[in-house]
Amino acid sequence: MNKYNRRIYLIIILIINFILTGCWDNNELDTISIVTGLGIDAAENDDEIDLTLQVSKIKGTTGYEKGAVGQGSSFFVMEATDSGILSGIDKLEKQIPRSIFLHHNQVIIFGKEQAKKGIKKYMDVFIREHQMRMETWVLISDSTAKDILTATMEQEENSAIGLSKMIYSESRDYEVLSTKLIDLTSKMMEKTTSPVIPIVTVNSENGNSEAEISGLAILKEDKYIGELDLERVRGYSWIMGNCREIPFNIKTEHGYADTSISNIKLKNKPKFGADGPFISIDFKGDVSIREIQGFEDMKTNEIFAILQRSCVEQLKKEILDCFNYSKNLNADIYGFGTEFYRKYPKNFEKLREYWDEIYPELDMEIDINLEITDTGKVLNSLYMEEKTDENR
Amino acid sequence: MKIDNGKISASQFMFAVACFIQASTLLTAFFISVTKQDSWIVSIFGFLIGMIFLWIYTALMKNFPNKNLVEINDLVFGPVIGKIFSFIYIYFFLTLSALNLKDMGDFVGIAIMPDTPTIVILVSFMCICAWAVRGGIEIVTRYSLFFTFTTSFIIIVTFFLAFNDIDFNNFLPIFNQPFMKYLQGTHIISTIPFGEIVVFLMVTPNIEIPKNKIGKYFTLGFAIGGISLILIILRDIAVLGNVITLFTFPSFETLRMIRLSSTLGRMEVLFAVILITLMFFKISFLYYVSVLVISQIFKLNSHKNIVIGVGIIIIIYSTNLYYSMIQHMEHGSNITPFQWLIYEFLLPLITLTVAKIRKISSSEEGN
Repeated sequence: MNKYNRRIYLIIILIINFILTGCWDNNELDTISIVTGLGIDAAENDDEIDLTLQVSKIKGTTGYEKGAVGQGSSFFVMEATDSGILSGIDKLEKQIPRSIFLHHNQVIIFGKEQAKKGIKKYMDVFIREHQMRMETWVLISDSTAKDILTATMEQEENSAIGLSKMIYSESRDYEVLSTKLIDLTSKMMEKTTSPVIPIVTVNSENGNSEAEISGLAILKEDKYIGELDLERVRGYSWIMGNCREIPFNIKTEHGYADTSISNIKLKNKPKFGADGPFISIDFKGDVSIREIQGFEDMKTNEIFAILQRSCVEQLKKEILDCFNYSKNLNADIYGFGTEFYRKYPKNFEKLREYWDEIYPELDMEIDINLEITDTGKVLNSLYMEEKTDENR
Repeated sequence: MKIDNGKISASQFMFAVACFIQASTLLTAFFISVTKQDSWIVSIFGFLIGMIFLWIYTALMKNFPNKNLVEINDLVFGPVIGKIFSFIYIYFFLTLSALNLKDMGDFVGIAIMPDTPTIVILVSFMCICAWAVRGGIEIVTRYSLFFTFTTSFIIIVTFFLAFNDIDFNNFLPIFNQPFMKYLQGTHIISTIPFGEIVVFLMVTPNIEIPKNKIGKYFTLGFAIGGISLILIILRDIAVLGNVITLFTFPSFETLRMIRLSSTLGRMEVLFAVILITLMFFKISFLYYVSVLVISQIFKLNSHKNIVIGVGIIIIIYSTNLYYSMIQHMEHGSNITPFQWLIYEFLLPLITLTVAKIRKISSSEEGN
């Protein structure tokens, strides 16, 4: 290749650079409306839904839109009623000058009414559409999705972004309090498992609202049938594992102790016993004591023994409470059916159809081993110090 | 008569093989939809079966160290039947290039630039490939080393980054599907990514390796490619679980799941980068081979004159292959493997057997 040719090629490449930038798909920031939250509520008509989009306003700090900074809210909400989600979005697209951009959608919120009717048929679009991401959080609103998306929060004005951050930080402690779209899809595909989705409640006061996660909604197939309150969520998360450190307070007749359980090692084994299938749970964890009140005139060893015993008792109680609750609803929120399938694929093939009848009868064997490893920076407490010294 | 006098070194050849196989590792949906969570087992089986193919090709290469596939066919079957066989290979190579081009176009069209007409992407892509092909084998394989390293690096890094989302329970239950599924899966995986290395028979005369070392380098390259494939499949199954069967691009979806913090997310761009670079390598290689076969059969003096023409044929062919992604997947898992088996296994095996029986060998002629 001689020098002359090379120059021509170079010129061609440079020209191509200019005419082919992004081709037909260039999305400049001033031509898109970035959706931060998507809500689905039940409409009056059974076949239709009320779609709510929370769109964040793009505020330039420089340039011709200077005046907009710091005034008004940072988002606006659009609504449409339609039979499908994308057709609803198309409808909304005609109302605004910019095109709707779904790549940065943070949360998908279902209203409680819609959750009772079933959410499965609206899941398809979230999996199919390329703009949607499988890591998006899924939530159920205690009232309607619109209530949450229109709420303005103190720290993050934009409630969808605020919720997304909240769930992200929450999920570090309690992984069960976060449901990604992929988890939900995966559980729905398992057939025997009942998916759980966090519930968000909004309290509005003086214009600013506070959103909190108030529990987990239990879905049977794809319909809302009940919920776990935060007490039971803890009982649920003991078994689901994936929790780093869970605060845990115990009340005994001698006093009160605030502990936390960490370093949890959990084994749940599905087994076939003489009277049918049961689940055996082996729970190991370290207890660290954070605060002690009471326990006067007692030796350290005694206190530790009492604490350990009552920890185990209470843990067992919490686990069983949640388990029995789910048995009453006949909703396999733990995915035990899948555990059986994974362990005994051949046997489970026959059981799968009858899982709804088996699950309420399922037994659970719990074996809990706790050890007190950490007592903070003191060995003894204020009240018992002298006594224990005398005893030595 | 030799059309392309370019020479490639042993390591270039090795990385070309590795890169060629890695290019197929990104589009795994057609056998994952068959064998689901056991796809990694199937890919190990496929790898082992691929070794048999590899052995046949190596034997052919050793037997005819300075002849390419067309010349081997002529030598073994005589000018008439040999030409028919070579014509079959024209069809095979053109189809392969068109299929891969279509995969690339589909990916860009669906996932990155949905509003851009696919033909624009295909034409601009093929322009660069044509440029490389005009340069001959040296240019086509020059970047294989770089591409292989980039890809391997990205695969390993994403494996660690995805570690948070990995759940090893997703592999259970193992071996719980009908036997035929495993057979089908092994068949698909041994023919579609692994067997395609039959194209390297076309460049035998250009490889500067001592005869007895060919097998070693070929196997090494094959192993790099195969291990990358198995790693990618393990990662995808572990991250996505039972949802994996839904997606057309499982790896793309896996990388989308990676999120270390709000800043370090959106890793799927890495997938797009390696897919397009690897596809560039694979398509230009297949394109080069198609051009070479055609010019060899028609006894042209240089392959350069027909580069543009063949490129246009490939583009038009690829736009008319399938109507939809679903049909493509359906063919990929049910029909294509049987077709490919003929070109990748039966024909080379027949050639080798006939050559052994008739005791034809170009190396013994003492050139």
